[in-house]
Amino acid sequence: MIFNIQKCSVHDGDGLRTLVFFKGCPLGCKWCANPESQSFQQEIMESSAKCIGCMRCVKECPEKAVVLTEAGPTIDRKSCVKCFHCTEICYAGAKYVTGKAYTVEELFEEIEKDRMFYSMSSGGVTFSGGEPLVQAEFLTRIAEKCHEEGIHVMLESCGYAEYEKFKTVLPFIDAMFMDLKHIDTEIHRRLTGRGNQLILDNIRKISEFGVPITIRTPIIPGYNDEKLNITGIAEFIKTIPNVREYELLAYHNLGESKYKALGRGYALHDVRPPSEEEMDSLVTAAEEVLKGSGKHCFYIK
Amino acid sequence: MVFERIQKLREREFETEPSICLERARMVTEFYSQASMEPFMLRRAKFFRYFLENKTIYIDDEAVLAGNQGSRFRSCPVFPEVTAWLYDDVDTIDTRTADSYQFMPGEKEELKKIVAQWKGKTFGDYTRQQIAPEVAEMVDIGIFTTGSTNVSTGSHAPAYYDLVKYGYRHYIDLCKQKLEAMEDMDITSLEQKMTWESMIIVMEAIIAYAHRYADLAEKMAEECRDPERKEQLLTIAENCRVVPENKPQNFHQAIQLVWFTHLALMLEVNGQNHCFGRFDQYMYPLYAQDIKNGVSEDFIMNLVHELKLKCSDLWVLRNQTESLAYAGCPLWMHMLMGGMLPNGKDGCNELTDLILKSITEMPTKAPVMSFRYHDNINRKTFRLALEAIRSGASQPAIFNDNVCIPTLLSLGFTLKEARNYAFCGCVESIVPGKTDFNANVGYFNPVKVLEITLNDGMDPLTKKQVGPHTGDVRTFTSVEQIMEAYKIQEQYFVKYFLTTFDKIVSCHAYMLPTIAASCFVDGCIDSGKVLQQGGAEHKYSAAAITSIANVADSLAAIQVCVFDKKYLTMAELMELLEKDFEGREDMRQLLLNKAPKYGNDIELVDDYARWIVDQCNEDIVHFMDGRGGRFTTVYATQSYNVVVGRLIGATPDGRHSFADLADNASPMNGLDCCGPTSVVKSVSHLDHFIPQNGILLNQRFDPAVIKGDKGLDILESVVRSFCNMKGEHIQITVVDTDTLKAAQKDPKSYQNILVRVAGYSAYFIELDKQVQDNIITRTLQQGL
Repeated sequence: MIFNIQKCSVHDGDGLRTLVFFKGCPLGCKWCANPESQSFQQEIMESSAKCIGCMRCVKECPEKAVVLTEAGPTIDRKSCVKCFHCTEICYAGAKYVTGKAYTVEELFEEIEKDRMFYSMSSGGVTFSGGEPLVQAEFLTRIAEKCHEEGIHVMLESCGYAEYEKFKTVLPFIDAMFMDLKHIDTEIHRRLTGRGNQLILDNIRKISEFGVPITIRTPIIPGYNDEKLNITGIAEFIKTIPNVREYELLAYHNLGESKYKALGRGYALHDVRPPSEEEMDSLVTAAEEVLKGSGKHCFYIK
Repeated sequence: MVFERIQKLREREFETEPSICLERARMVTEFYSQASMEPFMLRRAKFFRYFLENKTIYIDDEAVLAGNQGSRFRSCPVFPEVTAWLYDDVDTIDTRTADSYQFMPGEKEELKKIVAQWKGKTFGDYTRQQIAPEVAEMVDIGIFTTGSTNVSTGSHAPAYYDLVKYGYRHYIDLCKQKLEAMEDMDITSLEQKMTWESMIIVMEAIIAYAHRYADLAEKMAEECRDPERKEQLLTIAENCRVVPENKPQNFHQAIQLVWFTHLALMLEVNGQNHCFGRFDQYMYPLYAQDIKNGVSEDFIMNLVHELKLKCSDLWVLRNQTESLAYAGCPLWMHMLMGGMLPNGKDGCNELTDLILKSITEMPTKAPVMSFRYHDNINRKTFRLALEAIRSGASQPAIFNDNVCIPTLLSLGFTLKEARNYAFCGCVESIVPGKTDFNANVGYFNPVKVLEITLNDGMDPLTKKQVGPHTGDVRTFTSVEQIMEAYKIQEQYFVKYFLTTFDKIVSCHAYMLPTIAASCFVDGCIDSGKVLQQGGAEHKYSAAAITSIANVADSLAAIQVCVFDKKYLTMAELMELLEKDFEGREDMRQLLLNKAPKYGNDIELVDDYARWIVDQCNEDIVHFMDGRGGRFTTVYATQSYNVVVGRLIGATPDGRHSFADLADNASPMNGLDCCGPTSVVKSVSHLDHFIPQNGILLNQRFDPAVIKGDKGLDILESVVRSFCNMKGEHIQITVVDTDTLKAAQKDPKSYQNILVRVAGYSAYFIELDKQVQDNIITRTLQQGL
């Protein structure tokens, strides 16, 4: 299940890339910027800005689950049985489905469209999510296909999956981004719903397999932005041979509207993005730890 | 580094409102009032001489180049003997919203009197008489425009590479030899004789005009107390004695020769579209020689700057509609850089780099800077071109040797000639010094033809049955049937479109010759014929085809929504269009959202765009133009997409009645939503080898996306990929929407924002509000 294919992306790997977002994730990070990536099922999203007020959804919903509120026709998520009828009759696209099943062939056709740009820019495809590694069988087939066809393959992962199940994909991956949100497993569990032991083990194993890895930590003020966390992660990184870079990502709240679109609440209302100074000081702290290891830490403004 | 004197000249450009210069209007009226039986050609030549002998000349305090178009800085001459519309428009020239000009006190009344004397007797009146009533109706409805009716032909690049080697005297001698070699006279040879005599008169007149500047500079030097300025003035005097008569001795003289020649073409008739050709190539030997002799790069750079400012002070007065359709007074003066040499090797040199840097250092709206890409282009130079684009100059436009050279071969040029090509018009390739091109056939509007097709040959707005009956589309059962009907309608209108142009272009041969331009295009002196009489070795005319995106999107919407998914019937669709979707916004949204749109790399709809390009071209190219040239096509709109949009009702792509059409060959504004790579894929899905004169793609990028080295890599990848996929042309404006909106509110603070309109750049704040809005709605390619 894929929830988005984004062309001409420049932030997740070298060159111009196509990002393929897998739907479904074993973690439940409170700050997740793509809440539609969490469920493994198709979902309905709503955009009141696109609504033209034709009221067909209110009239035609078999469960009477679309009700008129101040924000326009809105799905009562408790009554909705996900028959998707409203998305079919909403011509303005104010109610739409997120999540689409692809065959390997269909997905490859879409990825291959930008092949010329990959070759001109040393770019390629990046599989992201959600968590692509938990759809290991499909991921292996599409990654193998891309690899065979000469397209550079990168993988972005939270690391929470069974190594024995996903190891089939590793031969076809040129490089990886792996997230590490917190070095303390208990705090990690509080923030994401799971401990970090499996993730740390997987990072080690993937490194041993020989895939170059960039570790990433999203900096969420008040949640994981303690200096000790960052230096702790840096200490861990020092012990992993195939990790070259440690990238810090500043929290942003661009995902907030998507929570609304899914009829869900957003827990981080009051959190502001970290300041440049804060990011700089965290980078400096991590650099201090990594000094002499041949690895380095950075963030992109 | 921009010299202080150049900085001052540039500031004056922004500070001075353009105004009307009446001098030429007075002189032409006076001259043609004198009794004479002389043939028209000689009379034109003698008037030009009279004008150059008497027009006001001045040298700007800061200038080291001489020669100005008007009698004042930023003043626009009037051609009352050419333009028929002037009689109706004279009142609003200073009040209209697009390209308005101020009058000096009392001169508006004077111009009215002058214009009244020419009423009904101008060139434009004569061409209007050639237009049949049914054709005039088609024009009013918006099916096509008739080009070249009130303007001389331009669209060529003189043989500057020879001019800088020889000077005018060489060409005068060639004409004299021709005259001496004449034996018995007959009616054909008399025509030749008059042509050669006229050419000599014109070239001598331009030389004498230069000498007037030499005299003036000497006089000013005598009175000048500043030794540095005195030296400059004496240099101007010396240069104007040497060129354009003789071979230039250095870069400064060569640039003066180029400027005098270019200016002469602008002064002789109200032409536009005179181009500089491969400036970095023919100027290079003089550049290299000067650098070797110790001349500084800065000095050369500032000469280039001064030429650019000179070009920005050239004007053509247009009527109300054209002022809006050609927003920002463009003259399409291409100055070309880069590209391969006739021997196939890369032509980038130090002068190429210098000119590209000059764009970043001081962007100007003219000339139109263009850059030729090929597979072995010098990467450093190519990135300089991209840096200039990124700096916000919106220049240079990038052209692709991989496409242009083969299309020129198909037009009959040799390989070496083809490799030496340059540009005219928006994106039309020509070989400098060897081509008489016409970029002004007119605009053919397939969106209107589709609208008429959907109405069985009737224009739904005027209810006139302008086309043949091709069937009630309500009874049609496939898109193919609509396409078949479209073809019949198109062929019907194309015939009127082109045969009308043939009549008009013939008028040029007997009324409005460009004698100066003819001297410097191969074939004219040899044959004793001016360009308008078919004197050039190579000649062709490009019909411009507008807004293919709306046709492609409409056909795709019909296919998907009516025939494939059966959301509605053809009858229901026609009712929606008739009522402009009134009360049925949901159905408009259906057409917008449930059918794919051109610009998103979706084959279903891109195939329709490819079809329309091929179909228009096929229906046009088998005609010959009035002077024995071929017809080609070019897919471009200028800002005519805004003007003509007002003449077209609702369309099946979900576009409202009278809304703007898509610009050029770009996707419809705002409907390309998958990023620049998908746009580039869709546009390169068109067959760029078919229209022999190009396909114009505009793109606007968010400056934030392409900042830094990585940003430049992105730009390079997009452009290289487009060229590798055989796209002909791409031009990029780098400015975000907030900046443009701020500029609308506070123009004074944003004077120097250049945006790409079509094959030219314009200062955003000088554009009409409607055109500004159209540019703002063009999709901004942002970071993904």
